[in-house]
Amino acid sequence: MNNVNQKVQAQDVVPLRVKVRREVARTSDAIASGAGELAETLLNSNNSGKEHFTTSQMRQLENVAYMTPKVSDITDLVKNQIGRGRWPVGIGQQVLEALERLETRAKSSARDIDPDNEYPDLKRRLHLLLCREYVHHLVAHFLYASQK
Amino acid sequence: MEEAQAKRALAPFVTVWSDNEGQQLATDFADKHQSLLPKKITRSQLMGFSNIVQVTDRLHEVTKFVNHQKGRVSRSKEEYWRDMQHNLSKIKEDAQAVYRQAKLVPAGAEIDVPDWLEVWMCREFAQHLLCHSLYLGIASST
Repeated sequence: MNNVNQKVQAQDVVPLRVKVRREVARTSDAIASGAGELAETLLNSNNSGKEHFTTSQMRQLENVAYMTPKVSDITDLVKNQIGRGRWPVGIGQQVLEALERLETRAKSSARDIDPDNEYPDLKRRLHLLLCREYVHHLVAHFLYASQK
Repeated sequence: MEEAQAKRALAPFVTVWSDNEGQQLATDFADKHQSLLPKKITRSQLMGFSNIVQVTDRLHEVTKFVNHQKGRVSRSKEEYWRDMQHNLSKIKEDAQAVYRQAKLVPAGAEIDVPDWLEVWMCREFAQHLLCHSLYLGIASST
């Protein structure tokens, strides 16, 4: 009987990293279609004249997203592309706003995973992971659709 | 503690600071002075500040540069560089707080924040400032 109780107690204590991974996977699926639509917008912008969004720029965005431990490095890259005139302002802003909106999702997920706020940096970490997922979907759809 | 070891210990705390307070400090500052971008506070001035921060190994050199800029500009831009001085002071204070958070010295002990930490955090601030200012400069002109 004691062994059964111990097993039930062990199952209640799901490691934080498992909860985070589950939550990120669930949210990733929810944000995939939005990323796909934005990728179509980027491609349509290319088709209407100058090629603003190149494969190498999209790969650079993906590399930065996966290599950096900071969300701000990703948003700084997007702002830099807009600020130096490489990306049109309106569409660049859509990319920026999409990444910034993920913070709200991250806040909500952090509250669910860690209601007692034992891990104050969890929200930021989740935001970073969600940005990576979003950029991954964005770039994948961009590359796929650009070949059609 | 060796410098390399201390840097490794401090890296996660500087990362968190950069993403939170560092970015907030830079964007609030740039937003406040948005009307000066991009014509009065030009890209080359922003790059000049950024370059000084990148090449120096002492925050004092950055402060000297900012003081120099403040002394040679018109009134409308003087406030910009005066606020920049406040930002540098804030970064010095935050460097103390980050050093304490990393618990590299016993609690309550007097700390001597290394120059390289202040410069590191200033570089994070400068990156956020440059990118956000460039973005505001072009967004406001369209």
